[in-house]
Amino acid sequence: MLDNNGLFSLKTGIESQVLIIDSNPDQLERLAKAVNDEGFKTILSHDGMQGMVKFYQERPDLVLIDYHAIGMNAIDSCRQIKALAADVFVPVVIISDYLDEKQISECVAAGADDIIFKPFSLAIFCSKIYAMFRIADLYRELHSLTSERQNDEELAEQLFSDVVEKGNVAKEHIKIFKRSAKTFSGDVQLTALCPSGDVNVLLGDFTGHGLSSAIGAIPLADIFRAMTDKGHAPLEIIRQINRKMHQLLPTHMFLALSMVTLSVSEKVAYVWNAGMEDVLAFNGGTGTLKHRVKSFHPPLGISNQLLHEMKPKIIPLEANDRILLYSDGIVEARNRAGDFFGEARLIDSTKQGFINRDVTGHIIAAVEVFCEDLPQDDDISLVDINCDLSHYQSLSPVRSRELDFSVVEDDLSKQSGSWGWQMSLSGDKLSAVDPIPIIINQLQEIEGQGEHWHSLFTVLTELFVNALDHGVLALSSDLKSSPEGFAHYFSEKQKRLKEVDKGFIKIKLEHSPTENGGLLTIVIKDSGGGFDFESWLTTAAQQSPISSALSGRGIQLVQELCEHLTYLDNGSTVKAVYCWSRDR
Amino acid sequence: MSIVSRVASNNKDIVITISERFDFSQYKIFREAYCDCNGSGTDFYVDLSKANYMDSSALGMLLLLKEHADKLAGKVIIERPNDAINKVLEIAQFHHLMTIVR
Repeated sequence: MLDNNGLFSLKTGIESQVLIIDSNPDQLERLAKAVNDEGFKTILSHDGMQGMVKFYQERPDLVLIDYHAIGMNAIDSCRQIKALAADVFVPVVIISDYLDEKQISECVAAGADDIIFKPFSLAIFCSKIYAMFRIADLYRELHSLTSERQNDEELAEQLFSDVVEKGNVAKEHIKIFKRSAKTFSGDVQLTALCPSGDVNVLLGDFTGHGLSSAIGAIPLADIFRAMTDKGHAPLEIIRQINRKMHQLLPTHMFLALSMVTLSVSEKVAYVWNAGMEDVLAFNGGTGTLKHRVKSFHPPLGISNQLLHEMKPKIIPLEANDRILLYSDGIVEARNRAGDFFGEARLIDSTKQGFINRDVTGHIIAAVEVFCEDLPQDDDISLVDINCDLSHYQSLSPVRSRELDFSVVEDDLSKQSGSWGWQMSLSGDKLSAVDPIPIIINQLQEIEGQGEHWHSLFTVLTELFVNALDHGVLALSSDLKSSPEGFAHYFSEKQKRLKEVDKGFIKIKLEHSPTENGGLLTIVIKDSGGGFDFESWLTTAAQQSPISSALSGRGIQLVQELCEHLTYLDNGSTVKAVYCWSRDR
Repeated sequence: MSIVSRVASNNKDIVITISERFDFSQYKIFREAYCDCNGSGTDFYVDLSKANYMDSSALGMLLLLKEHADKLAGKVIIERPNDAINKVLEIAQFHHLMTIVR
């Protein structure tokens, strides 16, 4: 008898049961003794049919079937056992004196794990049983590891879809499609609304798989949402994401990211691309590819600081335009010949999608046809952004106009419960600090959160940008008279910001409570030469329709939102009075 | 062997040659190719002329190599990537981080 001490180390305990199906009583007894002598329990059956019943009742760990067993033939028994065992690996060994090639392959096809030919020595027989148990052990271990990994990936998937992506906005106009590959690789798609009504859209692709890539997703979504909500500039958001990812991710992991800001007031899209496939902008009517924004910065999280050339590409928008973001999983999908799906096919199917009003559906169908039934290597992620800005204007919270204008402006300082706040910025602080989020933060600290700050955000931004651009930097808004001019305007602004030396901006707020809200007086003074407000008003009134002009809308908008708007000191100081009431 | 490393003719620098696929499956062997090279000022040449595919985890591996080289005050030089691999490097804008010689 074989001594198994040291030779075999099995996790399968001696409690393991072996079912033996053999119609020859002598052989059945002999096999049973051998198995018992090895310390295993046996279940015996004289015929195949009865053997199935015992298998079902006793759930043995290994089955031996004589090829000539009566009641049910060995091939059918084997097939039945494998079906009954389902996920659990129960080795089946067929015993026979002779089998031809065809019979052998039938056995294997039915799921038999081994065949023992008679006559055999008991030592060989026992070795085979041990070998089978060892395979069963490996199988069990693999099974538990796989289900552990599956649990991890399900958790990661849940984090992504429930926690991270739940807060997305404008879902009917920004179509998001995601399909995870067999191994979850971690694409993140986020959308959020700025206080100004602008929309930020982000597609991120973490290196790595499973839970490890989900680690970054939550802080990414938190930073993106919180900073968008507070009205931080997109570049600041990206800078902060980079800093956090650098802190959080190990050296070999990073975050490729593309981000689009749809600016409702400027009718342009700002596009950033750090390590993603080209961002594509189409005319959704004709299907023409209008713009392409290549990656212009390494992925985020690699170094502590962003590179200096992280300037967005600015795309003028028309109502028909569509912007497509996608991750590499889609262009790197392969067919049987090993070819990639590639960008040309992607663009073709996008055009088809415009015609049939279902871009993501068309692209996915095209990928499926291309790959046939091959499994995906990577996640497939698509974001189809409808650039008709009127969709997003309606999302911007409606400002409340029904105010009780019960407090006279001059009495502000005498009112109980009133407060004041001011801030001055000069020199290089003008380019380094964005005071608007700070002000909004102050307001929220003192007066509480609420949607009513959204239009105030617009007022503050317009007034501050005017003071900075036209006051301190003396930029002419004529530059913005054409869509191409925007880009020029932007680069000129960056240039002058670097050189600004003596300029300053002072911001002063005074707030007094009303019955259901408050009255906020905003005074912004800049170091510039001012401008002729009266003549601007006259020109503005002559422009028809004024809203089609690319510049000058800012002041008009502020006028609409505020109770009072006046320019003092030859136009270098502006004073605006804004009324707000609490959200219902 | 898909990754071979040797000491360069100047007896100081290391040349790592990668064949066929450069992806996550090479993680261990790629690391072993450089982790014992600790000479101050060692430059690491990664010869990709025989590689035909590279994925984003390979980019991560290059960053690990760069971290290692930075500690030694050495450089990483990527040599002769094919078009497909160069596209991956270009999308990731890796020329900002290390030298790439076509």
